[in-house]
Amino acid sequence: MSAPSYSRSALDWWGRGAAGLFLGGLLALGLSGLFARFGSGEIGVATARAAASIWLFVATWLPVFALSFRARSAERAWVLLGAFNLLVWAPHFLNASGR
Amino acid sequence: MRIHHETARVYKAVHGWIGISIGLALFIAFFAGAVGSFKAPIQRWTTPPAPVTATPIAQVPALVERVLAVYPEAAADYLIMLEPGPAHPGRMSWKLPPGSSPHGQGPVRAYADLAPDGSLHVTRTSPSPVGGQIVQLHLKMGLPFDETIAKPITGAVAAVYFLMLVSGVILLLPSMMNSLFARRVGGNIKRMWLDLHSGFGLFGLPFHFAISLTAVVFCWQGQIERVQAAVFGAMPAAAEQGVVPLEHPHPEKMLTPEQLLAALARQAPGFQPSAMLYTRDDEGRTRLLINGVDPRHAVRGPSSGAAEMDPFTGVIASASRLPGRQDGWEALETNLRALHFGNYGGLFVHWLYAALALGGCALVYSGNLLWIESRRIKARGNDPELPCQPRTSRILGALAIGVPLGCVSGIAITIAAAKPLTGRVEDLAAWHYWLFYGVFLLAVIWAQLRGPGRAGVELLRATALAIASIPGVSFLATILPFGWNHGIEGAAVDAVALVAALAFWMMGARALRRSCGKPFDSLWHVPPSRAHGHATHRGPPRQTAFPAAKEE
Repeated sequence: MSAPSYSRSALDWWGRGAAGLFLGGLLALGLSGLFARFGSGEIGVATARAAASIWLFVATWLPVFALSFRARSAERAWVLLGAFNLLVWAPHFLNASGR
Repeated sequence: MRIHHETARVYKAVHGWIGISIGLALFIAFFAGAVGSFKAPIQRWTTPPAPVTATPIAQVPALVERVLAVYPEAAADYLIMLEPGPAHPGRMSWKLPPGSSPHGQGPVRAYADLAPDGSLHVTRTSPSPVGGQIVQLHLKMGLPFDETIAKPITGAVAAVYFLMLVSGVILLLPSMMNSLFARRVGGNIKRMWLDLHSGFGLFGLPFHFAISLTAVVFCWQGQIERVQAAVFGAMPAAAEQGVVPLEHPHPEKMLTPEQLLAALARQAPGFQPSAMLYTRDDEGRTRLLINGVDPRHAVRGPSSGAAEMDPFTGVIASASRLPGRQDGWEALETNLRALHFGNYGGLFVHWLYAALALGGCALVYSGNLLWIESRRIKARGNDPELPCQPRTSRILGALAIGVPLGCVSGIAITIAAAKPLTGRVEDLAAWHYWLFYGVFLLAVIWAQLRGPGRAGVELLRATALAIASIPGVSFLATILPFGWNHGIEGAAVDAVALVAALAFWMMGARALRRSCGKPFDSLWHVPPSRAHGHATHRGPPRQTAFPAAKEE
């Protein structure tokens, strides 16, 4: 175990974690929005239907955050999660522009 | 399963650093949660018996009429208890305006009954605050802040706790199959703690995942909802299509509780009602919520669901919280919430949850010790000079002992104090509040002063005594003129406390034996007496000779 590789990874876990925290949160938000739009039909209000999208948000965010540390590097984590975000958010933007 | 060594290293750093920073808060949450889930028996134990002349249910309309004539303010929010008991001494009760103390001083509720001669009998009192305070400790992880500040912090800790679980599993995976049932007790003590830590984590894993995920939702539900509403707009725009309470033309047209309960039993057979809550809004409209459980179904709250009834027609107005009668979405939410409360499956699941939560305490405790022990500096060879342990390790080691044991003994003392304190002090809630934090801080400070090794042994014993004081005051109450006992229901609390006290006493004995066998550069080593002029140790001799063999 070489010293430079160790210190790099030690610094890196902040980068990976931040990607999981922020982009993971954004991803979960986009997914919960898709779920409300095409599934439950309710979001942002205090009903059981809308609560389902809150549970989905948390159930997406936490695993993405926890698994983001598996990325080979911080850069990869940001790029990969960024790509997933584009995928999830594209329908929202297409829908908004088509309206 | 193979894990890239770089990945393992990242997860190890994450697991260790985050574990040590949230471990102590998690311990308080686990322990206060396990104890707080038994709020009802604790509340009974800590509340003095009161003469309850429960008004017959048929006379409740007369009782309500009499009360509202004298106390019109009660109409806004009053409760009809179907089975009054020590913790709720009256058929009808209502909230009194809040007192001046921040901890809710003095009586908080008024209880009313009709005496056999028909006269109105009102008492102002409050059920013991202890049960509620323990639940607050659980919700806020012991933080002495307002709930609006503490709740988001609890949510953040719960989210990071999820990360701990994932990282722990990933670290464990490569060697899991080899060491799943291995408990290498003896020999290498660190190996033993690691086996215990992995065992508690792995076998409690589904429970821990469920608890952390649900806790994040409970704490952040409002914030997430607001973000979703801001980004996507509230859908449907006409929110809150809940029941519109009916106009309230004449109170005398309301059905009697007897009629309402009969109507409820017809419409929802199997639902066991416990209390009827009447509320009236500013426009004078009355709503009726009937709390209760259904043993065949999970309930939405920690211990009960509810039926919303129209008090004028006896029709169920909303079944959104009525167990077994919810629609799919409502049942989904209820069942996910139930995963946190463990309120499905009766007493067995309740105790299973308590055991798993105590397993969580052991998980955190062993994890902290492992992290600290792995950072200690070992004496090399036969160097007579003791290596100086890092100051941070000593402080953290003392915290890892003082906080958990302070939490346990604080909760034990505040429960036990209910019997001598009740009726003797003015602000009972404040006494209980400061008693917990006083004992807690005392243990934390003691651990810092004595060092982790000695404090571990001493505080385990002190904790055993603190827990033993629960059956202790119960026993004293039988021979001295103070306190009370509730028969078999109170004795059950005493019995559980007695077993717990014995367990802690035995842990103290084990810790003492272990610390004597420790290498003398260990953080947990108990020196026979302080070489540097501190007070010599009183009590039984802890160690007569330095250990012959060094660890590892």
